Amino acid sequence: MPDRTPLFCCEKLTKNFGGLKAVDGVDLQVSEGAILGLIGPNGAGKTTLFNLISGVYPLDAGGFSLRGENLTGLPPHKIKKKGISRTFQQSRLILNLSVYDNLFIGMLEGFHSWFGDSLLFRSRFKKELKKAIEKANQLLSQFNPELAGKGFLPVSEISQIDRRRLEICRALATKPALLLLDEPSAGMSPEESSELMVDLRRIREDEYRQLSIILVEHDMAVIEDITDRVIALNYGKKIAEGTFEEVSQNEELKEAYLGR
Amino acid sequence: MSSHTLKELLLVVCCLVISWALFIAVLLITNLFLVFAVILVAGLVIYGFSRWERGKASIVQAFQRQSRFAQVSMIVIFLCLPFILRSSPYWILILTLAILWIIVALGINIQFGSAGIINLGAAAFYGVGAYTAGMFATRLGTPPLLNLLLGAVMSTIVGSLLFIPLLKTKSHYLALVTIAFVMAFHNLLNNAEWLGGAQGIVGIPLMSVAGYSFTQEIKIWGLKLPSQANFYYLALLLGGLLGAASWRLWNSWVGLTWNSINEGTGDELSAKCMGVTAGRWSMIAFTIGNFYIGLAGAFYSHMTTFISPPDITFYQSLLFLSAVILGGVDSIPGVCLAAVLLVILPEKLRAFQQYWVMFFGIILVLMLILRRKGLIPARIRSYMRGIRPTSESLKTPGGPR
Repeated sequence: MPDRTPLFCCEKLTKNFGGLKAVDGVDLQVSEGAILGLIGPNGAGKTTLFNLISGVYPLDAGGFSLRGENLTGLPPHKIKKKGISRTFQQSRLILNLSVYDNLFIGMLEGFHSWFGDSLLFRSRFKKELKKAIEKANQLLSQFNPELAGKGFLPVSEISQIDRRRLEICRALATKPALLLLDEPSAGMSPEESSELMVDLRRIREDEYRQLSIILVEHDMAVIEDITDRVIALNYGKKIAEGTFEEVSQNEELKEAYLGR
Repeated sequence: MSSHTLKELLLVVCCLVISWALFIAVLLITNLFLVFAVILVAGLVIYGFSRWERGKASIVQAFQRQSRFAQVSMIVIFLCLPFILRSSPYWILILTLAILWIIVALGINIQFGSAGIINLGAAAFYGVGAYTAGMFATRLGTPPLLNLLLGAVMSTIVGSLLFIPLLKTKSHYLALVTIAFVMAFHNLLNNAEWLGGAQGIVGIPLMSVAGYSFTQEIKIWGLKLPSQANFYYLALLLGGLLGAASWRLWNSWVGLTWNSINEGTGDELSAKCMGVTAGRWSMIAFTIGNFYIGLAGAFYSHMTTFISPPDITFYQSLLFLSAVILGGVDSIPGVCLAAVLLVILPEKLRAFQQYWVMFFGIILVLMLILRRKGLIPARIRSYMRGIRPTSESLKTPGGPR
C-alpha cells in the first residue's frame, strides 16, 4: 500500500497587496511524482502563488508543508534546501557568465570547497569542480547533448530554448522534491515549447521519476498533454480542480478566459 | 619542444618585451612631447591589435597555453624593475604607490566587481587603516608589520559595523551610507584633536621588519638599489599574495556566489531562490574588500610617515572606484592595469596638473561610451588550468594535447 499522504500541501494560502486579494485562501495538494497544472487568466495570482511557496513574499494567512514538514515563513534559501525549486517567468540567467557557471549557481548548496580549499588546497577544489562539471554535463545532455559541449560559452551566446532548458536544469540540479515551473514556454514558438515538453517528460522517465511539478502555463495543449491534474485560478480564488477534461468544461473558467 | 611551442614562447616574449619597454620608456623619458608620442604609439599598437582578429587570437592563445611561462616572466620583470629604475628612486616610490592602488582596487573589485556592492567610501576605509597604523605606531610604538594587520582589521571592523544595519536593505542604500561615511570621517579627522586634527598624524616611523630598517640601500651583486626599493619589494610581496588570493577566490565557488548576488549582472532574488544566503555573502565580500583597502592604507602611512585628512575625501574614493570601472568590472588583470595607469599618468602629466581632473573625466566618459566593459573585460571563469578545453582541441577531435 503506497503512502497516500500528498507530498506537498497548501492550506488557505492568502496574500493581499493593499486592498487586492492576489491569492485568496487557496488549498492545493500535489502527490509524489504528479504534475499539477495551474491555469487562469493574467492576474489570477499564479505567479504570486509561486512567490509565496518559494518564500519570496511573506504569507498573510495560511501555510504549506512538504512531506509533512511545515515550511511556512521560511526564507527562500531555506525553502530551496528543503526541496522546493523554482524557475522564473522572465529568464533570470546571468548573461555574461558561462553555461556551467549559471548551472553551478543552482548546485552551490551542495558544494564543500569554500575558502580554505579555494585559497590553499586547490587540488580538493579541483576534485569537486571536476565532479560538478561531470554532473552538469549529465544534466545538460538530458535536455540537449549539444548543450554540454557549450559549457564554457557565455549564456548570451546560446539560443532562447537552450536558455530555458538551462534554467530548468539549474532548478533540477539539487534534486528537488517539487519543481515550480513558471510559464516555461513563454516567448517560444509552438514547436519549441512542444520540444521542451518532450524533454520534461523524458527526464521524468529515468532519474527524476519521483519529481513532482507544479506548472503554470497558458498553452492549453501543453497542459492537456502533460498534467495529471489541473487547478484553475481567477482573482486569486480556486474556481475549478480536476483532470483537464473536467476543468475545461467548467463554465466559470470559460467565462474567465473567453468572456461571457 | 615542437616548433609550434617555440613560436608561442617567442610571441609571448615579444609581447612582454614590447609592452614593458614602452612602459619603462614612459617612466624614464622626461620630455613631455616624447612621452605623448610613446603613449600614442602604445595606444595605436594596442588598438591595431584589438582590430586584427587573427593576431589577437594567436596572442591570446599563446599566453593561455604558455601561461606558466608568462607568469614566471612577469614575476621576474617585477623583481627586476628596481634594478632598471635604480637611478630614479622617485619612480620606484611611485611604482610602490601603484602597487598600493592595485591592492585597493582589488579590494573594491571584490566588493563592487564581484558582489555588486557599490563602495563610495573606499578612501575612508583606506584612512581607517592609515590612521590606525599611525596611531598605534606613534602612541604605542607597535612594530610596523603588526600595524599593517591592525589597520586592515580595524578597517574591516568599521566596515562591518556600517554594514549590519543595511543587511536587510538593497545595496544602493549602502552606496549612500558609504558616501556619508567618507564625508563624516573626513570632518571627524579634521576636528578630532586626539587624531591630530587638520595636521593629521606626523612622524609615523618608517617601515621596518624585525629590526631591518627600510632606510638602508640594498646591495646585490655589486649593484646598489636605493632605499625606496625596500618598500617596493614589501609592497610587491603583499600585492602578490593578495592578488593571488583574489584570483583564486574569483576562480572558485566564492567568486561565483558573489556574481550570483550581484544586482548589476545577476540578481539577488534568483540567487536566494537557488539557496544562496545573499545577505551573508555580501557582508563577506564587503569585509574582505575592506581588509585589502585598510592594509594598503596602513602601508601608505608607514611609507610616507604622515597621514592627514586631505588624503581621505569623497573625490579620492571616486578615483579608487574608477580604477575598477576603467579596468573592467570583475576583471582582475584589468583592475590592476587601470590602478597602475591612474597612479602613473597624473605623475607623468604633472605639468598639466590643474587639467588632470577634466582630462580624467573625459577619459572616463569616453571609456563608458566606447568600451563599457573596461580596458581588459572580464573573461569567462575557467577555474583552473586544464579544466577548460582550448579552442584548438574543441575543433580537432582527439582532445587537448
